[in-house]
Amino acid sequence: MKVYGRDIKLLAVDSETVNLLLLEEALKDKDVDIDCCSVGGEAIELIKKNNYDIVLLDIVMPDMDGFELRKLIRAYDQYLPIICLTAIIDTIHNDLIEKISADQATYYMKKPFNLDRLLNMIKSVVKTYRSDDETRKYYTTLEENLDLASEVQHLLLPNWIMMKEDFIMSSLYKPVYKISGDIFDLTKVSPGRYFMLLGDIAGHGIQAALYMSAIHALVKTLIMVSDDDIKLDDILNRLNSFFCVDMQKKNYMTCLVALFDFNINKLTFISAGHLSFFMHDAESGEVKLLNPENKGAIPVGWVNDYVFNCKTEAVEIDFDDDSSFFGITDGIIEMSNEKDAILGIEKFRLLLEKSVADTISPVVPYYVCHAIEKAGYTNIEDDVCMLMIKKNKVLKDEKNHLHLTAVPDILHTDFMGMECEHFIIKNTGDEKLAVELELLLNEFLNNILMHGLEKCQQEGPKILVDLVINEDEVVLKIWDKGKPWTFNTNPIAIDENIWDDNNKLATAGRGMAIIKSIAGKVECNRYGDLNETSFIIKREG
Amino acid sequence: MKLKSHKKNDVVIIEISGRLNAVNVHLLKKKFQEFCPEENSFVFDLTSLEYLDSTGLGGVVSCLKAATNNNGDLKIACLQNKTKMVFEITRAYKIFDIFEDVDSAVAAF
Repeated sequence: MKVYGRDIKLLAVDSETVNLLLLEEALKDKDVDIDCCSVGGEAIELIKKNNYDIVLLDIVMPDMDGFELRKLIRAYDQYLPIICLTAIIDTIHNDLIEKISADQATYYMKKPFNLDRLLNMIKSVVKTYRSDDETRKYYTTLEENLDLASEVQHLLLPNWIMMKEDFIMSSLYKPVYKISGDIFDLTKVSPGRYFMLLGDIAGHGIQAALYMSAIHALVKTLIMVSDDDIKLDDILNRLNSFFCVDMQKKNYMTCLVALFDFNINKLTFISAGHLSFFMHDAESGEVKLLNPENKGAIPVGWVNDYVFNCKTEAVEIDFDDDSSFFGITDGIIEMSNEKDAILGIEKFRLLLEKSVADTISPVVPYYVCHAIEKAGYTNIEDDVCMLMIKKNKVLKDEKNHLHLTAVPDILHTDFMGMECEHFIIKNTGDEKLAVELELLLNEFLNNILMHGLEKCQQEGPKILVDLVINEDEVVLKIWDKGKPWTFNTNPIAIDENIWDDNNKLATAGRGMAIIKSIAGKVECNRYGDLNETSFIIKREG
Repeated sequence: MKLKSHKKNDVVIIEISGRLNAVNVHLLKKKFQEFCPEENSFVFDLTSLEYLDSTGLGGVVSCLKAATNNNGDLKIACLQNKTKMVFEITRAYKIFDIFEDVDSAVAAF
């Protein structure tokens, strides 16, 4: 008896040896590879060693009944089919049948049984099992491939935090399912000038993600071969040709192409059917949707012979050093609540305005998305992407404020500790405070964060550190995309005993104890997949 | 981090300079092992040690425990301002005999 060309491998468990002999005899000429045992403990060992297709199981057995054995089998394999063979007469309420069928992969046959009926049942059950097994394997492979594609896609995109001499950019990128058709990049064109693309390829999933990869490569090439004086309309015309000619209009993309000139604080952009930038004006506190003259063009990939033109379609905006820009794909404004009401542009703008009012830190996209979810808009129908770009003023002239990014590598985090120490000494002259900060940062990054980020593959900065010196305290904030963690509010006491069990405490509590002895207040929050940890260290005198 | 060693009156003196941390603490342990179990009296000269974190300090504590388990001792000499603060913050000063200079540390054996 073969199923899908293979013999059936069967385990029969019955405390009555005579029943096993009868079964063995009956199945010996039927291409069934049968093992028998009469004790539950032995059965589970055999199941772990052999790749059975099915188990025939007696219910009444002295050492361990069939239901107990089934529980053990399920702990090991939740899908292995079991046929319960029993002479028990069921109650009027069908208690036995109910108990048997509580498990989806358990079947029932009453003893004494007809051999042909049993054979048919075995064949049919194994057929379903093998077919389901193939499907499960297929989906597992598909999931693994999607995970890999997701990793590749993340490698193509800038890190969630990018800090350069001229600008700081943070990004939130959330595919509906593992991979996304959203794309963004910021590339240096000449000193102080950067080309930016934020695009949303129609649809989502694998096809959109493949387009995303191709466009990413194309745009990189276009920037590389162009001279310093990059033309936004040239880029759009080439992208249009990619969609209309190379890809024969099978898809399209809305996008913002922009040129940030941080030398003269000027933003020039064209919207190709995409929502414009939002700009936060630090002086008024207002967040405005840019594009006052309602300029713009159609998405790339719609019309073959359309010619994008900077003169008629580009928007130019002058900005201040403190201005922040936000770009989004429509996945955010299409997020909906349980009443199916979508968020919409205006509600998004208001939530953004409120988040920026609370903090101007570079992680605003994460605060906004958190606020959106808190407002009940939790359903995501499309890929979500949000960027924040602002001039890096902190690096240039602030005396009480330090921003640092770091890669999760001990050498680099050690360097961060040194940077913080130098900054504190330079601006306060307080050596003790400087050592405390350095030690705290090293302990946190090495002992806690490195553990949380151990599986990070992508190169480049993963951690953002923000240090503010106030009159009576220093506030240290660290953002990372490691595992979620919570601060143990009652760590072991910091005394000489922390060195007693040196090896054990090195990985279990000493770091926290040292941190707690330095920082009066520690707070952990999580915004999406971003950890935010704040430390407040009181200044003496 | 750099390590240098010499002997004075049957005491092994190990000079540690630079930054002692999770990256290089294994080098200190390895250097220390070279002297065990034949030697059991040690002085760590920290004149040029710029900084050490708790992992680095943990390495120094391991050396102390190995020395005492071998019926010996490990003394610390020449802690500078910054490293002294780390010893104070972490209460490590309570488990070591700490001396102003190497000669006093050697004389204490």
